[in-house]
Amino acid sequence: MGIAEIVGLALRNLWANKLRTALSVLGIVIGVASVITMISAGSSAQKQITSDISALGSNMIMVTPNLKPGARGRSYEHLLTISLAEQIQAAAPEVSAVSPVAQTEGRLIAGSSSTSAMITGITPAYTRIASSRIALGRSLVQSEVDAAAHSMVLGSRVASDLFGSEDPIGRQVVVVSSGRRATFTVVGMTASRAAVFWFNADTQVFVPVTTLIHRMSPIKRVSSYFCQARSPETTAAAVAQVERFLASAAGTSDAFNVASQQGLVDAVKQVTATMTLLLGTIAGISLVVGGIGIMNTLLTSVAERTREIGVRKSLGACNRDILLQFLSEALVLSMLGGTVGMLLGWLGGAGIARIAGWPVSVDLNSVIAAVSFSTAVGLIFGTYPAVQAARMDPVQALRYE
Amino acid sequence: MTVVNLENITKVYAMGSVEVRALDGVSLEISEGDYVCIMGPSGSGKSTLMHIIGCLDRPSSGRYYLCGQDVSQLDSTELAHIRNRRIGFVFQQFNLLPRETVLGNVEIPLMYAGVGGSDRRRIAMDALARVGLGDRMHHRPAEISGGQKQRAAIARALVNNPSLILADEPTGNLDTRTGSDILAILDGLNAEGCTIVLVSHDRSVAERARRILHLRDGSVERLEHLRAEEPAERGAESNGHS
Repeated sequence: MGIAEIVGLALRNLWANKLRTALSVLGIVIGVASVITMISAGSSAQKQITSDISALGSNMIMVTPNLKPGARGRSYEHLLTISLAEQIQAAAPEVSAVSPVAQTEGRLIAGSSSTSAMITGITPAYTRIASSRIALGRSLVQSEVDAAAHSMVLGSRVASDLFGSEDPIGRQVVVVSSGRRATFTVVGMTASRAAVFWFNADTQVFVPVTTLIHRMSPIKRVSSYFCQARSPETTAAAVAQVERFLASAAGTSDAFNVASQQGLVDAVKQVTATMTLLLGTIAGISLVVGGIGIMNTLLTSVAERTREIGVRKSLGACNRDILLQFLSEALVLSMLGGTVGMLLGWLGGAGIARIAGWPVSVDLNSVIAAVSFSTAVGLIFGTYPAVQAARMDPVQALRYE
Repeated sequence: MTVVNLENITKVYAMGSVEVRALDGVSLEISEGDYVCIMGPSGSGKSTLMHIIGCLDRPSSGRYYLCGQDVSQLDSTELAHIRNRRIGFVFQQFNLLPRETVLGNVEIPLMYAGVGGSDRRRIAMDALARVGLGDRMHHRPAEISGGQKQRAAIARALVNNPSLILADEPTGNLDTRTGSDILAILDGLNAEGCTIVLVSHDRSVAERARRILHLRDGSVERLEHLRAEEPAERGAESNGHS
């Protein structure tokens, strides 16, 4: 018997039991569709998050002090100075720019309006490192840092809270923080950008780091350093150089945490990959349930067709012919389910991505995996009924009523 | 030429701890063109004997030569092949597959013999024409009468030119008139040279045969010659021990 004949026979038998066929195919359809939906939704989410992180800056390396004291309860707070930024840059040739970043919360008052915001002290290098874009006016300049000037760049949200749709450039803003008041002149406003995790540039205002540290005490210390590697390829080398310098400056490698943007992307990828695997596995269980459905259908079919098996054997069908007949039915069921499920899964994945506003990403590997897994499920769950059918004793099978 | 040569065949079933001797030392020789009826009360072992002659089952001991080939210890695949090429079954319950058309049913043995496409169709159609069912071949078994079903089954038994046609109570599910039509077809096939083994408990059916093998309690009670004077029979007797 040729393959075409065996498959033709399988199709005719499945067609003769349309409802039963449809129901057992449905199990596989749901399984495959959910696997592909889950995996493509996961991969869409990952793409979105990694592109958000990339938008945080370019080749950025974040240096943050470890909050818990180091060995023997020693604190490294005294190291967190503005001049450490220059020392990092001098010690790490692969770092092209460093900006100290100091932050405190405060209240901002302009005329009758007021709002609260994160006040971030920076140097001009920050604008480039964090890829922040100026929508109005200009960014801070080095002379303002040198003079600890009372100049301020507003985040777009802060600007609209304080000034509505009016032009904020040149306006005065009173900053109240930790009981101190200071008046700043607005020189610019950043373009709005999406928040990534806790980081939202729109709700910050940017002032020279010197002004924040020297004139707005009690903020005495820089809270982190934003560095920029010369190129994406040299990021790892830059991280190593920065780490080496900081370890020698602090006398221990525990004092600072040096994380590259790429490292963050990798970490997020790992987390989303784990989540995707988890969801995919749960969906995969439904595929196994679908396989059990196929097995159930086939066992019923084998029992019903016992006499047919006996007749076929008496007419010259050998065990292999019967085995292939039932196995091909299992495979037709599972592959049919796999194909329909693949299409539905693709639609589901694209639908979820569209609703969530993520980039549509249907992973070809997940499609291949789901379809080959469903075929394997058909083979695995089809083998037992097929072997049962093949091994039937022709005399017993012919007697079956 | 000897088609069937059974030598001291026994078949023992284990029913729990008890051994049941379904066949106990049956010997039988059937030569080409013969027409033998196996008769006996229920439990006499006639079904078991038919299953062994039909290569559906293997004897516990003894030798079975089918057309000179020892088939008593073949494996299931080899037996399937023998059934396909050498034996044509006709069953009491017709055993046509309900989902296939009459033509499709007749094509099944050819399919397992590896005969493809247009040849298969042509041979099956010829066989159906031979039993007078040429005009019903595209019907399903449920759409034709009992007699027509049995004709289709005979056509199916004939398609691979078997050495032996094995008919198990072929008239058991038919009324007397239709039954005698079917027996007339078998008579005709025998007249054309087909070797036939018939199983029946009905004396009037059995008398169509040349010989009747009376079975009782798994043994041959007697072999009754009805038309022993016919030459084919004599040929068988003289060739049997050569």
